[in-house]
Amino acid sequence: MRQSSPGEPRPELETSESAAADVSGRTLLELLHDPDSEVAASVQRLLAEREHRHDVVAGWNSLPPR
Amino acid sequence: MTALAERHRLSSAQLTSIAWGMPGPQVIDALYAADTSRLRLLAAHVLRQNGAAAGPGADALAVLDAAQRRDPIATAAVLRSGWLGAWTARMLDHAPADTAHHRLGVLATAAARHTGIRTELRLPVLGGSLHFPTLGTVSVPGAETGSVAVVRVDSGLHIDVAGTTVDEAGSRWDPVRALTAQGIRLLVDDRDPCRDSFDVPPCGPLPDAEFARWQTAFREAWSLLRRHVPAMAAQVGGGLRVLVPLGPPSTAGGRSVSCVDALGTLAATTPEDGISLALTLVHEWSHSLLNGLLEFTVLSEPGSPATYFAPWRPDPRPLLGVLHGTFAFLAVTETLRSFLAADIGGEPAGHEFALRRAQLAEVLETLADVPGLTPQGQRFVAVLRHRSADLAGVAVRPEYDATATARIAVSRAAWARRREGEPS
Repeated sequence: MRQSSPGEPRPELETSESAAADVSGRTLLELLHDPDSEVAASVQRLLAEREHRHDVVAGWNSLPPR
Repeated sequence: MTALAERHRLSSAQLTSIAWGMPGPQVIDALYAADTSRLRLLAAHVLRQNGAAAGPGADALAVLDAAQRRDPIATAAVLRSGWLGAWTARMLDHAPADTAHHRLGVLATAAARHTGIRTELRLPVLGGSLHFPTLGTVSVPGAETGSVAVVRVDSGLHIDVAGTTVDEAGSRWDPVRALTAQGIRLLVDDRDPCRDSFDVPPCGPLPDAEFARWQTAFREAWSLLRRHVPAMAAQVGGGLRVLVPLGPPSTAGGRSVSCVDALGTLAATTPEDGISLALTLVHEWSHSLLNGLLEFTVLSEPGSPATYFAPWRPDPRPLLGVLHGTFAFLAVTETLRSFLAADIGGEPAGHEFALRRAQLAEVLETLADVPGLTPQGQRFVAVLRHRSADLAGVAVRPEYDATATARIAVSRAAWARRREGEPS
């Protein structure tokens, strides 16, 4: 294995949390009726993240041009 | 008041294992759990915006609610395989809302069938057929779009439509097929209208002979992966769920693609052989894996208009696109290394390995200093550079490396012309 150069970032990612709230125990119907502000905030995070990905891919296709 | 919602969490070691291309089953389960939460939250948002809870889809929502309470894993699998994510994405992109009743209905029917819930739903027919994800399709040639079918689920599935009753044993019922091999089952979706969620149109239902070609190549591919890259086989077996067949490519070679809104799904042309399918499965699974990671962390700064040379394509690529390609081709090249060590693939595999290795070395030199990576993105690239360096010691015939170098030079020249607006 190659050695890391001085100044190179450590090859270890930091602990992270998902953009989505953990709604494993809640059904679609419950979420549909849920006024929980945390859920709403989570949706806004997901929409922003989706917009970011859309911005990134707006100018290109995932398949090479023919 | 509802308790504050917690988020899914991946440790440093777990995220790093993804960057190394070696996540264990617990990590893959965690990615799926987070993605399931994402799907549910966005779908609920879209349905709320469209008033679905009070509309004709309300009965279907109640069935889905009951199904999830009875068997959350089976219900989540139906929602995922039934394109809930891609359908939601279309709704977010302002597609007409009148498909909600249909989509919820077919999902609820499938979920009820899998979880043993008895129900009866009225569903609109679209395009002369009704497709129930993971189950099958009933063709109703006499039924116009907009006519209503009554769908009953008890010990089986029965559809009353256009004056006749169809069930799962009838001649008008086409069950969903699956590619199978020891320890893996991949659903083949060649009928759901929502499968058209890639950048290339899917083909129609596979003729039996074409399906048989797929099955033969799949068994060969799976055997190769299990024998020579068992850790990758475990990932593919645990991570990939649905295959959408594509029509024949207009140019030589196969095509495959993944969808950001459908984790664990790939679309591909019929493979030439088992080796090419094995590499396709590894490649597309890697895209899913990175999409799963991106639900936890941001690797590139939003809003950067910069594009870069990706040696495997002639067009300039945004940073995230380069990262995706690099991550996928690393896994492919590592798989080729194992195949070559076992004397599998011969000269084509040798050329392919040399080309991908050289491309990865080149692109990772660029990525080492590229602006626009977040600190987490820099750490991610540092791992990829270690993986790429590990490939350097593999000896191949010198002419393979020479050909690879020449091909990259040609690609770079085409990329430069395209970037400057000249025809390539």
